[in-house]
Amino acid sequence: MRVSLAIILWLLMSCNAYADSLNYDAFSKIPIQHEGRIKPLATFALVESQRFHGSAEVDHTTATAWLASVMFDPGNAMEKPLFLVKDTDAQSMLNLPAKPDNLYSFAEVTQAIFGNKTLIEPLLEKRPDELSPGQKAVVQLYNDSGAFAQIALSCTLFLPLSIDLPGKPPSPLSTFTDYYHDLPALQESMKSIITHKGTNPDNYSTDELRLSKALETLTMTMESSQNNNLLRVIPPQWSQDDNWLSPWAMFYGGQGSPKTAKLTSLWKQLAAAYRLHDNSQWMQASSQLLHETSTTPGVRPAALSLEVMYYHWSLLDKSMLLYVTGFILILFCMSGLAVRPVRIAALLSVGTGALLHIITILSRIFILERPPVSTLYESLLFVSLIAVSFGLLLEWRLRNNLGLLVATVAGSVLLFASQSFSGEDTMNMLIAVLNTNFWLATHVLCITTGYGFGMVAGIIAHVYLIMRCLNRPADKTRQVLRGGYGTALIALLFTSLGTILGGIWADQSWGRFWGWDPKENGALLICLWLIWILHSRITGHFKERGFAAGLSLLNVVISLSWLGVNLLSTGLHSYGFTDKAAWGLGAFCGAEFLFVAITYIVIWRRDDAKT
Amino acid sequence: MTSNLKQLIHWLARPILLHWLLPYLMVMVVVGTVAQKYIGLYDSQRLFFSSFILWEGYIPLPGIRAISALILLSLVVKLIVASPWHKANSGIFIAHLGVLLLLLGGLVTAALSVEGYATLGKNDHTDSFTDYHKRVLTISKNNHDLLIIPWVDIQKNKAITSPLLPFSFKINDACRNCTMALREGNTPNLKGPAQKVQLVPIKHYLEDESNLAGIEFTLSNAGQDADGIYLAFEPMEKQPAFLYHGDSYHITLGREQYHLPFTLQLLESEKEVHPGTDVPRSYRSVVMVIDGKLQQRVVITMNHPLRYKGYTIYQSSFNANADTQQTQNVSYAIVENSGRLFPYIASITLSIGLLIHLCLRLPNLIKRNNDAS
Amino acid sequence: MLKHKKLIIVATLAVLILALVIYDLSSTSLTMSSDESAKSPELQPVPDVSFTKIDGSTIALRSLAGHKILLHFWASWCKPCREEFSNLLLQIANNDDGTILLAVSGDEKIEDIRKFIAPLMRGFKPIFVSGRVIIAQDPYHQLIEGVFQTYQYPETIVITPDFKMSKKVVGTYQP
Repeated sequence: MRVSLAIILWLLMSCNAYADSLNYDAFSKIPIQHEGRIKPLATFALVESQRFHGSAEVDHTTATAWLASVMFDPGNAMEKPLFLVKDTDAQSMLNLPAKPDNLYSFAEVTQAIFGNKTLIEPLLEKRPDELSPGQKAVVQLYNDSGAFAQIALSCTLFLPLSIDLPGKPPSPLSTFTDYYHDLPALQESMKSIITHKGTNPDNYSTDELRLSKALETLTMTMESSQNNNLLRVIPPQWSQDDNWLSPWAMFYGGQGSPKTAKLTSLWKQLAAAYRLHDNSQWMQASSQLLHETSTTPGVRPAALSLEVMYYHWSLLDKSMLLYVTGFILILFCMSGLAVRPVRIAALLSVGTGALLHIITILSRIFILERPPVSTLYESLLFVSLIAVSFGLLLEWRLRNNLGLLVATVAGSVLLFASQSFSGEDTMNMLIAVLNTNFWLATHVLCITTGYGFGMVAGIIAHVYLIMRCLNRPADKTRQVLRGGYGTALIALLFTSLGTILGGIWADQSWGRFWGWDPKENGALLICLWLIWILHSRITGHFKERGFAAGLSLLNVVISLSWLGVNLLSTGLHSYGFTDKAAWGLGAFCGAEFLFVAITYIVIWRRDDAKT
Repeated sequence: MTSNLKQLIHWLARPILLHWLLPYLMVMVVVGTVAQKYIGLYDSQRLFFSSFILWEGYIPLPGIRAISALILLSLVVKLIVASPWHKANSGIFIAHLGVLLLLLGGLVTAALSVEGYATLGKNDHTDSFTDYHKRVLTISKNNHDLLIIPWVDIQKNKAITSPLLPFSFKINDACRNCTMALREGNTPNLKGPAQKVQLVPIKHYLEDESNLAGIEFTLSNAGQDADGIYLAFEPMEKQPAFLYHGDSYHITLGREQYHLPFTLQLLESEKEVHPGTDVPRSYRSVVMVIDGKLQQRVVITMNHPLRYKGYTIYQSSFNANADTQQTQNVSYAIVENSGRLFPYIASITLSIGLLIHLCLRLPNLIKRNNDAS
Repeated sequence: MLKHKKLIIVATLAVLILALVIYDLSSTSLTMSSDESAKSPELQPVPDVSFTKIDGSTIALRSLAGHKILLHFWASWCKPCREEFSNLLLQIANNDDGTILLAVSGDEKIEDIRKFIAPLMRGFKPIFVSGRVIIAQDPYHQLIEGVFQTYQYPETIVITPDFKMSKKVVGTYQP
């Protein structure tokens, strides 16, 4: 409540609502330390807007523009609908009025939270698995509103403050720091007033009332800013660690320096420009601010710019669309319709998609300075790229549309699967055991490359089964299966090497090469499956159809090992856990089994009829 | 060589063995993995992954160790008697040798490795470490260990006999995970806590480390004062003790202790988090290795353990004080594993073999594809 | 010939394994402790500013280069500042490395500064006279806050002899 009152005070100085006419280019690139790494303000804005609002756009403005409005015009920002509360139980627990868009302003949310304190406090003590979905939503909203308050109050150090003191009339340029050193004297004077006249303001003179109000404003500003440390935009000046500071943390910690004086002055100019809607001053201040902070050790201006572009252009979505387009075009091709132009269009589509895909991954490597395979989301991106690249290579060698088919299917399916994890992807820092580029580069790259080749081999086997069902000539089908066989060999090479490297990494980190951990068992299963079907093919225990069926089911084995083991939520590999996509995975596996069973039976009966 | 033996050898070398063993192995791995969610890693390891026989009711099924042993044998026999040496097969041969080394390494590790932990606070030192799981019953005389009985030998109504024991020791009851309850009935001659409480077996926890073992035993022919029924329970601070002919005997139930041929002392520990987060960035501790005249400071970090005299010491967890969040003590995982090098050698061998095979096969595959297209 | 080739491979591998095992078991060398040197932030350049002394004259900060300088921000109404001031003077007096204390007060009224400093000037006369202690005033905080962004009195910035700011101490100064 104190927090919201403090913010209400800012309403006195809040500027009028206006159409967004400011250029956010430089502002979006200003570095901030968040979640353990230096990122541009645009990414921070995106993360927070996703968190509160569930989308990158707020009220038809970009996340960056929204962030600026919260930082520099908190009074207005707290009145705008922002928090998405879809859970109806949570709405009724907090007595929030039903709304068609389920969006609530900070003012509404804080009022609801304050009014239901006795309900909320016990929930905060419980573990997440002890809460119902509605209760979880309430706790989430409580935490989110706290984060919003942090952002809203982060710049109050240099926003104009309406203080009317006897002998010191209010000035539109005065900020908190102009009155900070008056506080002890004001407190003494107030003590004296209370001693003589009591606490009833009706007994005070005009000057005494002004003094009392001024003191209340200053005290409230101080109290609400005590633990404000979310917006870490001030680089460390004096400390040995690399913790950046929020403006208030710098103030209270005495970490000011000539450099921070310059930065604070620029932030003041930025805030003033925002409130005056002065685009040229805004651009000048934000460019200078960006320039000043870019020279800090650990800040890579090129990485900041690239990250802003990365999220702005969302190349992966375009890539997925191109793969899907390519798939449709290839289907046309394979059904014999207008072959050459359609094939060229398909090639261009997939090629462009692959290019955008590569750019995405290279961007991630450059931004994060590590191999791009440290989270489930990243591994999905990488594996799909391997599969697409190999598909394109296959197409170059065979020129029979098989490679294109493999590339488009693998690309579309895996990128689609990655969408469920993209919301959680904020390019996070790695926990200690993963914080090693050497093992990430060797073990994880190896395993994911193996997954990629394995999926390609699986898709080729699918194509074989469909071709056999459609009674295609034996030499063509045999050629396809040979491709699958070769790919399976490569997959075996990478997965077995990757698995062993994983064991060696485990030996270095945890003291044992093999611990029958679910993730390890998953990797072992892929190797065993490949060894089994390859051996059985070589020794003649599997005929072509049996080998193809086994190779098709490799996709199921890979999916279960890669994603399925995470659903068990047990074991040392506790850094990939998710309960999402369980249904999707189940449906995928079910569909695969059905497909293989049906095609195998059809082929078997046909082969039997021939003999 | 007799013809029967020759037949057996050739049968072992046949590929059909692998063709049927592998799917069975995969099923066991899947079942064992899913079981971990319900019975915990330790029990599932014991039942599925480390066993030779898995009992499904009264039906004995081969465990993963038995299958692995059979595959190993088959591979050895095949390599010796049924692998012709051609340049074209060289890659495969070497790769199989790598697999053989891997399996052998697994065998050596399973047979010989010793794993345990030691928890040290600042400036604490130790020359021993504790097994994670194995419980033992130790009977000591005048502070020297007289008899150490592993848990597998502790069974209900079993008498522990040894020429070293001048009295009779019989286990009335034993539970791998117990809780205490108020004693019912009027059993005579109860000693110590047994007078008030009895042990009740409860369901095993998924985390074996949380399971608390306990036994109830009867001592006889140890003198009127000592004879009686006692309880030995892991969390009990005071374990049973008595005097016999002037000698002091202690009965302790706990985890097995192993001796280290050197002393380890914790000097410093540091947990670094990513700035502005709780996410750990690195764990670092500085220990002193004291071995006779040798005294050396060693830094242990994540992915860089300490290796000395065949022992490898890793940081396992940093335990913080709940109030101050400062690291109170560090738990180290200590492993002695003679088979440690096998996976390294095996992986090198396997990689070489697979690469050779790929290089030899690739031109053929490309040529065939060129011909076909 | 076939058998020999197989034997050669197996024998080579066996020797390799044995060599590695012997090497591993005989290895008693421990990793030397690598105490990573603490990260130190880049030293910041000192702004080119001048302060007004309580006698009215000005002194450029740069004129003190070549000495270690304790640029100390304080105020007479700040209790911790008053408590530690004599300790600071004692440190200067006991230290013969030529360190200079430039104590810049944020007091609005010069009388408040003079009232506080007068007894200390008498007690520590030599270091005042020799110029090793300089008292300055910045009543409008143009330099204290505007340039050095100091708010939490007392704060002390340590300036090295080569005129770089090496560290800042917030609160009571400890060398």
